[in-house]
Amino acid sequence: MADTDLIDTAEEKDTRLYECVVLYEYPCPQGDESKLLKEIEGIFEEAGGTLVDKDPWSRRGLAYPIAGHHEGKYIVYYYEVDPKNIRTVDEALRIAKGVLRHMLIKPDTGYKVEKYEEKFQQWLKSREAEEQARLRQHEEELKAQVIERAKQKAKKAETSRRIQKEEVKEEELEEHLEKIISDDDLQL
Amino acid sequence: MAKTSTQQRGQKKKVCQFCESEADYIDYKNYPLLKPHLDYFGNIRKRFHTGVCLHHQKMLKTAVERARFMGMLSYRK
Repeated sequence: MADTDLIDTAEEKDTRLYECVVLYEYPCPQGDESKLLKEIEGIFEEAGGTLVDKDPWSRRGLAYPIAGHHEGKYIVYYYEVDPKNIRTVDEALRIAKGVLRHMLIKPDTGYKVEKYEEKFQQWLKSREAEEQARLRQHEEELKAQVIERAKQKAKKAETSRRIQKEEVKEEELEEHLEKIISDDDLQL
Repeated sequence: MAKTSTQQRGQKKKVCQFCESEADYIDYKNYPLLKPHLDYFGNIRKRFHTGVCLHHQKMLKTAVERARFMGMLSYRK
């Protein structure tokens, strides 16, 4: 991204910290990934930059296709570069082959370098664990439901059996009564 | 003006998540942090819904825009 205010004139020091994110093709069309990274680092070294830290990210899917690519790899560099030379770095990165996108950012003074790759992996793991826990709970709920239904069915069956038995008893009683009534020796 | 009973009943003061954690910078690389502040379509959720203060909402906006440019977040689903 072409930031117009990349050059910091107010700074007294002749170098300042820059953060550079590069999105590059993966798998690389040139073959070697380290070659491309060396090329990128070479651009900074040409501009007289000193590497402070770097954070290579794992292969990630892109939110939208960039130059026909749906996947790519990120690398975050922290360089101390002279603000006068940062424009050349920006232009060189734009021309560099294999680089899909890059962004140069001036972090605030007192910015602490954080490695987001580890955090991201942890987040992925925790999310997966949550998902599994959710699925397990859902399964347990389903099982409990099935057991409950089976119990209710058994209860219903038992009650219906009981009713049938009672009906049979009633029929027997009626027959018995009729027998008694129809008896000729009966004297009322 | 005194609040009516309906106003007092339904509203609960939301607290800014970033103020609570005393964040002085919202990083665009922090995907797990940004994601809950986007809706299904990839738009930034309004302050009214999330309770983020204006100061941090502006930071969040720049972070999301940067992440969108780098292909970490989508512009529109």
